Amino acid sequence: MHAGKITLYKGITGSGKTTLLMNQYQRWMDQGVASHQILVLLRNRRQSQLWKESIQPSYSAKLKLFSYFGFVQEELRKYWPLVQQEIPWQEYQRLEPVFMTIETSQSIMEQIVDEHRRRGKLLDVGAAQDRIAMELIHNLSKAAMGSVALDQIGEILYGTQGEQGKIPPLVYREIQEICDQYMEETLEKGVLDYGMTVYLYDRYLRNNKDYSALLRKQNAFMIVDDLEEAVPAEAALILDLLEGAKGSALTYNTDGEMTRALGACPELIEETIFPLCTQVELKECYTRGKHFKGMGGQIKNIIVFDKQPVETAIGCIELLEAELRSEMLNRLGEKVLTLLQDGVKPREIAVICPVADSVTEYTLRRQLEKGGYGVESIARNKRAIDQVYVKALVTMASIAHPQWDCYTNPEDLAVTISVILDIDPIRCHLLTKEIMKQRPYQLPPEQHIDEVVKRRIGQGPLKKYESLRRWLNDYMTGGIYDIEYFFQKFFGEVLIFLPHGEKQGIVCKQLIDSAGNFRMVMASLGNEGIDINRRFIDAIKKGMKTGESQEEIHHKRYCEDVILVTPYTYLSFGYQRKVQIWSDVLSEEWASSDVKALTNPYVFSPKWNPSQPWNDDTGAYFRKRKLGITVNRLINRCGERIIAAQSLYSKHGYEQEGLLGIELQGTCSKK
Amino acid sequence: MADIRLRPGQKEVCDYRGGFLGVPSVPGAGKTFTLAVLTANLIKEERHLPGKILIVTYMNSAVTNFKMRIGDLLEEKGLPRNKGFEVMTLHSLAMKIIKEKPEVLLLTDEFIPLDEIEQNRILQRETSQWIEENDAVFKSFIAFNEKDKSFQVKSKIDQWTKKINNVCKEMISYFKCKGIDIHRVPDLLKGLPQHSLLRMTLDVYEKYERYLRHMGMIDFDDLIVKSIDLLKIDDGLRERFQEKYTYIFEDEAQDSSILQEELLRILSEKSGNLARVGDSNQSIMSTFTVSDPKLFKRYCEQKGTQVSKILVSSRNSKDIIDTANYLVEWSQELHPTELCRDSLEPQLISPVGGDDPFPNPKPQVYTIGKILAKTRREELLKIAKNAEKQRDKDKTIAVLIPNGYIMDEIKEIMDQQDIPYREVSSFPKERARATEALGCILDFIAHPDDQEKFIHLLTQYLQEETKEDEELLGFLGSCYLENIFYPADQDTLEREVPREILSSPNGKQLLENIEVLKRFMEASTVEPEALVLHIAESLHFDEEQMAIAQKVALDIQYMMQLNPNWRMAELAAQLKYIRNTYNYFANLVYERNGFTAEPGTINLITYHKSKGLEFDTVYLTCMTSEEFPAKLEDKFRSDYWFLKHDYKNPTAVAKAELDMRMGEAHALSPIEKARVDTIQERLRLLYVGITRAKENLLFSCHEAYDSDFGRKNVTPSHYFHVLKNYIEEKRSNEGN
Repeated sequence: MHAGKITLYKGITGSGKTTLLMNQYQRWMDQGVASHQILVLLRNRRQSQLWKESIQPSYSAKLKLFSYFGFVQEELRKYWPLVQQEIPWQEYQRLEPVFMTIETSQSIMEQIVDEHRRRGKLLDVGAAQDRIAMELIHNLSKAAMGSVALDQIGEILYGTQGEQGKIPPLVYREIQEICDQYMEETLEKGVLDYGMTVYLYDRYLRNNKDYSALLRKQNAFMIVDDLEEAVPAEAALILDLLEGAKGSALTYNTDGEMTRALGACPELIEETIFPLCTQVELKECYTRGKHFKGMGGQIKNIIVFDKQPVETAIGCIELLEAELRSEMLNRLGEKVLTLLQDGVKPREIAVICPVADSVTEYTLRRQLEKGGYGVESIARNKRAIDQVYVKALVTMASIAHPQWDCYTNPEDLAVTISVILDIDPIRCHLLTKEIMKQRPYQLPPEQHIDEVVKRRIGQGPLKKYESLRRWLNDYMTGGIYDIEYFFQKFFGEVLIFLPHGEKQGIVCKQLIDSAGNFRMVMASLGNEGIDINRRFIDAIKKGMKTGESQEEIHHKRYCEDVILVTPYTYLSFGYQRKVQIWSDVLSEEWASSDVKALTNPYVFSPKWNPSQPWNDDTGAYFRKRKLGITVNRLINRCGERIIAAQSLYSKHGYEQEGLLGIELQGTCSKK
Repeated sequence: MADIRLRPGQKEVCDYRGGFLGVPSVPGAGKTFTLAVLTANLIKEERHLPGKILIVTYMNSAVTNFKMRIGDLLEEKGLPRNKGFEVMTLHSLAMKIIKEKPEVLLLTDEFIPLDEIEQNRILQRETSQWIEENDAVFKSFIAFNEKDKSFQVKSKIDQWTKKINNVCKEMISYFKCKGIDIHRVPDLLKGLPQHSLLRMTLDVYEKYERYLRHMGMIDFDDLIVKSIDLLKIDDGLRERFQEKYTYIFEDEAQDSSILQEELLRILSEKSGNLARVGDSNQSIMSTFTVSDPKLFKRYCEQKGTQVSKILVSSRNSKDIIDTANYLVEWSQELHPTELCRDSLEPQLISPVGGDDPFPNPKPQVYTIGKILAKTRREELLKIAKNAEKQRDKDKTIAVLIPNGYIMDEIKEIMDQQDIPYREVSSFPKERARATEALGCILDFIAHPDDQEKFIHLLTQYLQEETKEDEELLGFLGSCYLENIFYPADQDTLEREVPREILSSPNGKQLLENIEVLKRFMEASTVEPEALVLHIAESLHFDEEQMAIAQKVALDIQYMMQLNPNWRMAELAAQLKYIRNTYNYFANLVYERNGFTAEPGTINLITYHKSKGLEFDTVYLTCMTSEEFPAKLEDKFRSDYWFLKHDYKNPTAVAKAELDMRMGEAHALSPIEKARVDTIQERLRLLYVGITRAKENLLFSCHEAYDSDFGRKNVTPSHYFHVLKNYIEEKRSNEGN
């Protein structure tokens, strides 16, 4: 029995679906519905920020804007006791769950993988520990989203081989063993990663009668954007909420789903949710040039179904060709400059590349700088360790705690000294060598520093050095040795006073929060002491990325420069630039497979037939589908012009024949 | 196609429409041209549909050559240049196959094949560890003498330590070629004595392979092996490739290995259309790769293979053709080592017909000669001067050198004599300089207080003219770098630096270079990838160098992921050996446009690298018995003097051990077998050298050379005498 109107807005990219939802939200507010009664399920923080900026409540109240995962996490935290009473296998009772960051879960899984590998397991797998760990964590989260039993992962993956039996079953048994151990060490102690959070909510909390009633009561109104991206577990939640909702507004992008590899299951949505809705078809597209009408769909059909174009000319895509990738990047940069010089504004141009890499960013930036233009790289989140202040925090943490036995690279030490003492690289190397004379590294007192070196460094820097040394000494005799505490203290008492201290504050705060979370997680798992701190430092060095702050999201969304962006980021930000330049169209990365050595996200969907083997055609279909949807959506978010750039040879010097480039070659004009 | 005139042999090949075809051909037969015409014909007739024609070749320069020729022919026919065919190297093909579905091989999609330097580094680590753990066994292979002094003992140990890497590397290739996975290693080790070269190489192999798998890496041998595995495992993928390539043409088939043959066999299984073109007499890779010249011969002899020979060539003058043919016939009948009488196939070159629009060169006099010098230096000097005289005659010139050490020697001589030349290598020194400068700058940034590094960087790369400026160098050697890089103020700088230096052109340039380096140092806190590109740009790298710099930058990203503790110093150490590190990529960048010999330029090139090329005048240098052995008693480079007699060729011994365990017995001892193989291959190498020459050919040799340990006598190769006698007789017959 479904109370209240359920409206489903169906339309392609740029047809105004999100605007309609926002209008609906505003109408409810105007009708007196309290914001805490309206649950809004979005896809990511970027969408959430857009909503916050756009909705103006008549009184200040917290908007209930959540991603599915964010909502589930919040609910688990609130109603944890209800969950605990349902789980007999849980090792011990805890007041509330502990949620891991992706880095923490990765670190734990890596350690387990490493243990197994040392024992000779996974011998045939040609991948580094971190890749294996990442794939196994993906398996767990996909299985959870698809409401699949977590102890069936190995069997399901093995089952995809059908009769062919390409890969021996041993590998899959070993995978399951590793996953089981991971769950034993985490889930059973109430320490949860992304997948396990969803698993517990979906399996234990959502079906709890008391909770279920409360859920409906608290969320009498519901808005869900991009329903085509919903995972099965989310679909189940939405169905529960629709049951008693007084009003619901949903959207569905008919261009197709972008995140099937993350668990999206549009077929399930069509089967279970569509029949309950009043469907409204949106015909217009407001973000696309008129001459592109129909083109996205045609190209999608060519890619996915090998259909020949209905119209004779899809000539609106210009092609730039080169042999080497470096040549392609040059031509691309020159093209952008030409466009700018011809009067196209920087904020009207997007360079879209399948994978963000530093070479593309650097090359494009340098070319545009020559013309006095800037480029904003939207795609790449930088490594934390490349931020100078983070490096300083990590390096000083290693020196302040010799008992952690962390390796300190002399160059990191030199950079740290240079930043803190504000001395040139040469003098700071002289000082660094003095510090390195002892193992473990220590800041020697001034009187122990070589006289010649002291003279060369100069009095001013020496004073600052001595001040730093005294601070460190005080800390080391202070008795508290934990990384989070050190970071806070060092940042607050030393780094903040440096020239860029405040600006770097956000990054440092993120690091401190991450450290805190890491320690809490490890403590919850029963790991104490030195190892936690060292492992956290290792995680940073291995390439932990900085998160996106709200300011950054805002800046990226309204950036006035030429942007360098991946397709997914372009679409998730909802950009609609006049000119799109698609880079590396011959690269296979445009249609990369989501099926990896140890993971296949598609087979955890409830719509996957377990007796069906995964074969070449199936794999090819999903890759083509993903590419076709991406290209279609990009075209529907392009105002005027598309230029495609390709190189015959990949960045590593091998000939490439990516699907997108091949298809475009047949249909484009070359310039 | 009425305009194109095909020669005997070529016509029959161009009539091919399907099935298995073998095309033995002689040097200069026009294989590329013939295959290009055939390809264009088939495309014109749409016989390739619904698939494509695949041409597999060996080098990137050949890829470009083919594409251009086929493109031109298709354009003449009014067809699109790039449609209907693909040309790639075998490794590119293997990469393409694996990249489709690396997950089936339990590989990550980010796998990158190891380049040589990384492979060597890993192997070195594993062999060092093995030596440490097996010291007694390691030393048991060495031929110690009671009378050895301590420096001699040390020298032998050092030599074996250095060479053991090569042995392991060759054996690992061999293991993979034979399909020996590390799962089989424990079985193979059973029963092997401790003092066994096979045991040693298996141990290292297992550890090496485990490391590769743990790091998600594969080496070049793996490319072929795994692409075959993948095609065998995945029916759908195999069918897709078989349907994609309806015709497969293989160029340089004589260099194929059993695995390569297997790969092409699988791909052509459905269509049944495979044409393989090669010249067994030009198989010159088999002793150091897994290629096997017998395979092509066997393919041509098998039932069901149609054979069309192309024996006509317009490249060489008749005299040179006769010389090459003489060598073939002589070797069949009179080679001093009977087992080597089948080194060259009885396949004689014929000149083109009189009415051919591209006739064979016709020099007016007999233009084949020889030089025998007392010493190597004398020989190379004579050659250099002779070649210099040729420059005025507007002819293309090549001096063929047997190996890299002698290449360095002749370059030094030519530099001293002020004779300009061009070194033809995949990564000639002058091109390597820019990227070596990159490594050197990173090294300096990692150690900015190091005067020696700064001076080296300045004198070798940034400001070479300062090499002669003793005053400046003296000052730099004694000053504190921070005082010239970061003086407190201008007064301090003027106090530090002598006025004469400050006001000199070198001094002014020095200050400019210091500013550039300061910018690099200040930029060094950004990502290393960006820094590399910044440096490359500041040094005004040309297009090719920039392409390599970008590859370096991307690899740095990858290296940092694998080695999170690495910084500039470690990256600089990697880049120091740039010449080897980026071999594959450098080959692509510099060879994609092929090689064109310019008249009047002296090209210095190894015998191996000369294959496929042609020059008006060719010098075949250093024809000693060491380089071109003819008898089993001759001295062989592959023999390690510091090892016991039974282990002198450790690779051959280990291979023979393995073959025996796998049930393949050989009549000869491993050392003898290896020598026979070497004699055969070096004879073919000589044949290749002779057939590079269009008009003029000079053989040369020496009787001694100067080494670090004094003058060493050598004997001219038996072939030198044979050819000497031959050409003397020819000259006297012609009254020259």
